[in-house]
Amino acid sequence: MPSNNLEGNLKKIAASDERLADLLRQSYDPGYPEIRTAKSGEAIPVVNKKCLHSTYNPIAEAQKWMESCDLHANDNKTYVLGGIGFGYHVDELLKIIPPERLIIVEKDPGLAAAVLANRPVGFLPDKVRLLVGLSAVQSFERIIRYCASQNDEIFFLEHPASSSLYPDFYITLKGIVKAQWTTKRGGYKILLVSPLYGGSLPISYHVHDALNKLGHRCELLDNSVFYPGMQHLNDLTSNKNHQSRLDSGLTTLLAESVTARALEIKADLVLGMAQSPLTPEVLRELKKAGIQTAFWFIEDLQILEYWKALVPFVENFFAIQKGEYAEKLKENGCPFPNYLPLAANPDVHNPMQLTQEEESEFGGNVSHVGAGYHNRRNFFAGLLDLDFKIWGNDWDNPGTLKTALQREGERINTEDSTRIFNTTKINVNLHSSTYHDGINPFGDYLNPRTFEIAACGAFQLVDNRQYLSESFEVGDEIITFDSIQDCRERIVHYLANPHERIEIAGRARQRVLTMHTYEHRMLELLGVIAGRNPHWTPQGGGLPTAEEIIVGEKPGSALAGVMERFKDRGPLTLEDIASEIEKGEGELSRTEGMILLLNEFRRWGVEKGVL
Amino acid sequence: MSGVLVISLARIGDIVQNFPAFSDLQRSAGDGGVYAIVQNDLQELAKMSPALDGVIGFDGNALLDTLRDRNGMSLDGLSCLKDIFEQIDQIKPDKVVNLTHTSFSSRFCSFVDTRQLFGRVDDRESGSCLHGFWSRYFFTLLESRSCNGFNLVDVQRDIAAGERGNFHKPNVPEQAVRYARNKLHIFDGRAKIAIAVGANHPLRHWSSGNWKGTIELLISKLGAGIVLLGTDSEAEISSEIARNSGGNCLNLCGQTDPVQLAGVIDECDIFVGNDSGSLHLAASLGKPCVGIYLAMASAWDTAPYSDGAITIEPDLPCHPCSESILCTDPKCHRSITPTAVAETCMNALNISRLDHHDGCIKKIAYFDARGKLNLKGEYKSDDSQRLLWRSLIELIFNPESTDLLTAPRVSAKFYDEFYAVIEPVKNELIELSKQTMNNLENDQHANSDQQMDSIAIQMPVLLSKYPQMRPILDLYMMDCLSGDTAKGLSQPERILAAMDTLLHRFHLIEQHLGNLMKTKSISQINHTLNAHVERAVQMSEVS
Repeated sequence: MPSNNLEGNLKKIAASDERLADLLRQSYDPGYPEIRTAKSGEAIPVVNKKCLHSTYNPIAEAQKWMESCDLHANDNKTYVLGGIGFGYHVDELLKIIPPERLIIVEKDPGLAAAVLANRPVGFLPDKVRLLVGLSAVQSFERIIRYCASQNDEIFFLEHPASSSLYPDFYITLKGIVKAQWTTKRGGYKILLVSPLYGGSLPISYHVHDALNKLGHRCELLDNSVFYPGMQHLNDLTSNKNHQSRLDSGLTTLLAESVTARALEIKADLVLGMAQSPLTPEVLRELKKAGIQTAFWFIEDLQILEYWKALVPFVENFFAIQKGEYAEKLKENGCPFPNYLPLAANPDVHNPMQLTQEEESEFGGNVSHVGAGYHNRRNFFAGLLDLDFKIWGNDWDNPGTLKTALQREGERINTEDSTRIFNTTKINVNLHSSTYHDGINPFGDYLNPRTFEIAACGAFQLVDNRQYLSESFEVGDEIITFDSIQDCRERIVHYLANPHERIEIAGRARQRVLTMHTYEHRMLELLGVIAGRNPHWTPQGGGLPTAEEIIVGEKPGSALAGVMERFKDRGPLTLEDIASEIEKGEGELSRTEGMILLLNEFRRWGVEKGVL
Repeated sequence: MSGVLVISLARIGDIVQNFPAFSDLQRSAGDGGVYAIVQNDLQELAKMSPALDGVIGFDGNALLDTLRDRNGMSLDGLSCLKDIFEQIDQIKPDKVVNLTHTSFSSRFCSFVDTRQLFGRVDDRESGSCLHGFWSRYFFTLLESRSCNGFNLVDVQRDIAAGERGNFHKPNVPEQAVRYARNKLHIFDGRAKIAIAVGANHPLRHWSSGNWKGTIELLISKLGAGIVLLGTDSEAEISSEIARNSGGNCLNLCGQTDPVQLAGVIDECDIFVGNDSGSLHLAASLGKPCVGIYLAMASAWDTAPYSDGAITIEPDLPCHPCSESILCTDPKCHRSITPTAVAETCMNALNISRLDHHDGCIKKIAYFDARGKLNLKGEYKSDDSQRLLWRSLIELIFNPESTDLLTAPRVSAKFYDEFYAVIEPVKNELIELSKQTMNNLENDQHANSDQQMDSIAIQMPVLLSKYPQMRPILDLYMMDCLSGDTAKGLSQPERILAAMDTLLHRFHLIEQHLGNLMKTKSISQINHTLNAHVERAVQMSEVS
């Protein structure tokens, strides 16, 4: 009986991972997948009409696949197999690879349960790790944890039939492995282009932090310095036609600066944030120069439509909406739209100890931080009797809300927002809408505040959104409201039950830390780009470590001697070494001098545009 | 063996302009010999200098290739450099002269094991240093080129050796001579005119239409055979010119290596071209030559270093323009006409007089009594300033041998105006000096960058008030940053020392000008100057 095999296999899995065993047990469906018998007699699964193994001889197919992988037993790599199928290829792999060096990732828990039911008990040795039903980013994080050491090389093995079944998942996972491996050699050089102002600007800073933390070399082209200039141009004339021409001229100029900088620093990727000054011409030019381009549109695709002019020219387009919007993107010339929700930066959005003065300034029972959109003005009028505070800008002519409006509607910076989240008992997070009177019943994406409040370990009530349950356990990690009455009732309830608030908020914070940071998002973004572009590698082929340079030198050589002091520093650039030598004291050795000279020549080459 | 090593990692024109300095060094080097490091592809050209005992090739392209691999971290470039330093070790240079003004070359020579360094050198303690007064003077020219009255070759010679004598004409290898004769035999029996239509900057290019007009005139008036020279990038323009010349043009653009280029120029009767490497090569070979100086090119800076060479410049107040100005309407290109150039060529071939042409300023190069190149002929108004500074710089660096009357054609009125400005500048400098002292006393912990900042703020104010003093104030800035006396001094000490030197130099200038003004009335000065000029002109005509 297959189900007997399932329990036997699950018992072994439960010994090391009880949660996984539970998931597989729950996912098991005797009718899924359809199982056929190959001509050679083996059972083969069929999912979405796709056979995951050869219908003639799956074992012979697995042997052939194995040969094509060209693996060696003693290369000390960690092998990640994408797709378990019915495991015939796993059998072949284990003839060469020690089980402790194999990690199998399977997207489909039902399929993973079926293979355990259909294959003999113990067909997966205990030391083989199995990751099932996780996102590509979560899978990668677990893989890293399972690696014997930080410096292990991870080798991704693709089971082609599984990849064709869930291409986005496996391509992204493969891409993440590849992109993160480059960080051992300095990573990708990324030029991040910020907008001049607006909500995308602070998110650009978080993205910049995240990319650098992941080990890539990200430079922020911070266009906020041009904001006063833009305002100045707008003030020059009231003629709309002239204003528009001036705006367009400024955008063209700033877009040109993107090309100039990208070429100057030899960027591997130019990543534009929403509202950043990228134009089709510049995107075309960057592509021609062999530089990958990406754009993260962290705004409502339905309301702002400038994306239509950009998508045909951006190689990798990311949006915070999916479904019907993905179709719209495709119609407008984006063949592979990507969904990438917003997130939080735990270095900025975190629980804080505030002073008494800060508590009295920022604290309160109920608060909202955000701009004065039409729906909020209507909705919040119903909360004024609940010690309600409104923080944020664009609340001109506040009417009855004036009593709740703090700092006369000044813009609130990131630091103060965090203070408010931390000191408010209930943060009301109503997503904006320009045309609904209260809650947008069709609202889908999550605004950054959803993640930021949660990351602070603060309690929030959020209007119900289509994508909310994908990111949080609604009711357990986050509490929603569907109407003003609903909102009022919950405010009253949670004000009276502080322990509930604290527990819920704590779980929400944990969820953000494990799944919704900008580092998670950037892992995914680079994974998608690296996975879709197999030949995308950092220009210059990456950077060596001192240890590697020493290994390549004769023992006792002068260069090996110089490199000794750079051990354990990770990947090195010529500039790193030169600047360290320059800081030193005493006589320069000939080799040190030559390194300085070489770096000087490199600088000259860069200045002259020949490098 | 201990010799002299010259760093000459530049283009054709720069290397050729170093040839006289090689000759000066050879005289002072003794048995050790003179060696030069040049770009690999210019080794054969450098070997044409009879003053060099050896040439080391530097393969910049190969080094660049190593830097492209793994962002330079393959470190293969180290072995390229190691090879060069091993060759240098064999020379054991007693003296190193850096005649290339790049940060790379200055760092390069700081790693050569030697006793004496000249030119721009990197010092680990004090940063970039300029060894020798003339090196510092050269750097002041970068900001105050409109005040310069010295030819670059003379400055290089002063940096390299100080003492000067006759310099050698380059040896054109037999193979290059044969190549040239073989190519040019089609013009046997006719005047052969070498023309290089290109230059290293687009703004220095005289237009192809102008060249066409000039060539037509030279063919019709002289029956000349024209040889077009240049690089691949000029091949298209040249081929178009050649196509319409009725077989009177030979287009060799992009076909000659530097040595063959020398051979071809040497076979011709005269060379005409923009300020370019080919022009300087022609001058070094002693060919009669006519140089066209457009945009930022200035005849005072880079006239062909050859007696009798003729320069043509536009007669425009904006000329020479700054390197940093991107001119969109180069009037200078229209100011010089084909007729002016063609007739100047005829003068250079001793066929006609050197006549005036509207829109042009023509000058003839000659060597003065000290062996430095000077220019005579048509002067522009700002030439007074150049000539005065030519004298004053001599005074500053070499007070014993200075004769202010070596500045002919500087009007007495100009002397007077210049003299009147010295006093207020000096007072302001003394004030600045006091302020610096106060700053130091009040803020002992101010770091050197802050000290430099205060000077950097004050100096542009002074320069905008007294632009005619630019060279001496720039010299002061160079003294602040580096110099022979800089070693061991802290940054504030260096600033004060430089201030002392500056005031001393002002005093020197003031004293000499004052003596001159005291002893002679303005009319007397004018009379003396005019007499001097007449004498100089007569002498040059005789010669």
